[in-house]
Amino acid sequence: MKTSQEYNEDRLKDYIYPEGIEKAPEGFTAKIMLRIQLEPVTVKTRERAGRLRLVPLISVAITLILVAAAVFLPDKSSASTSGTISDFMKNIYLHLTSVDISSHIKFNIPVTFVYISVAVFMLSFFDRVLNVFFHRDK
Amino acid sequence: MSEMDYKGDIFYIAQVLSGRVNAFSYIVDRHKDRAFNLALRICGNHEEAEEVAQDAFLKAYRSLNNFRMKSSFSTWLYRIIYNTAISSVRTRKKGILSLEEFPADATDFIGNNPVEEEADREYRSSLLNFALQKISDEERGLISLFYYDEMSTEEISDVTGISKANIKVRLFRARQKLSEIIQREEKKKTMLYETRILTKLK
Repeated sequence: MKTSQEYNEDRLKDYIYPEGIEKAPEGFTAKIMLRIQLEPVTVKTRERAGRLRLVPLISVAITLILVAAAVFLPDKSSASTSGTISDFMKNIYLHLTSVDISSHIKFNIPVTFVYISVAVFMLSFFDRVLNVFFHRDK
Repeated sequence: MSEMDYKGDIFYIAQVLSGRVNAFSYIVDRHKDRAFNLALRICGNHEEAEEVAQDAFLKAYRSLNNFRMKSSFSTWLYRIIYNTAISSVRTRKKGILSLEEFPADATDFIGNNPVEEEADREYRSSLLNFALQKISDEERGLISLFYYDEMSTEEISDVTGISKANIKVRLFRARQKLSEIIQREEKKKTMLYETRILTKLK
């Protein structure tokens, strides 16, 4: 004798026709492909993911180079590491064209302002280059 | 592309991941009918089912990189479709799609089919669809995966994230509910025919 569950199951099978499944609507695949192409989000390819993993590696490498440079730069006048760094910094001679605008505008621009402006400009440039390099897919 | 030419999901996934986006169309073509039918049975109407199936394919495309190939691609895809369909039905608060009463006179519902066997089949199918709308979304999904997609309880467990034992219990309950609804509607139909015959005899 059939259990209640078996009975119910048998009854249901009289109503179910798995072979008679409906086809997906016309143009289904085309619509999805269109949505994929229109969407700004693209699938992250493994290649790109691998390239993104380079970011921390490059950061670590640059940090290590800076630390090594600070430690191993030739010691000229002082014995300490901080002394070595400050000596190194003093030995960097930046020759910037001095801009004399005192004849036109009657106020003084601090010299550091020029250095800061150049630094900001250079950092922006590097930031742009790195951005282009790491987001080439977009 | 014929079934024979299809090189397997993994091949096309690798193609998509290496930047050939159009390879995804082969994957969609391969799975669209089953995907659409699962969504249709959970949602209960064609428009919503199409929307759900398309959204699910897009979600699959976007997270293709996260597919770890531990389970089969179809199981993974089914999980996305199942979850998308369930949340879509839950978001749609009003159950506007289901009929309150199944028309006892089958011809009102399925139209006049000259072939008796086909008409009967259509009637049964419609009656089951009606009954399916009366059970919960989750139960509907389980019934669909078990009967229409002929999945084992283990596969259903992979798709839904529900334990095997729990699936068996829920399937049992869902079957009972469906059976009760079908029996009730069948009884109504028989009574209607009897009434008609009696009226004619008078």
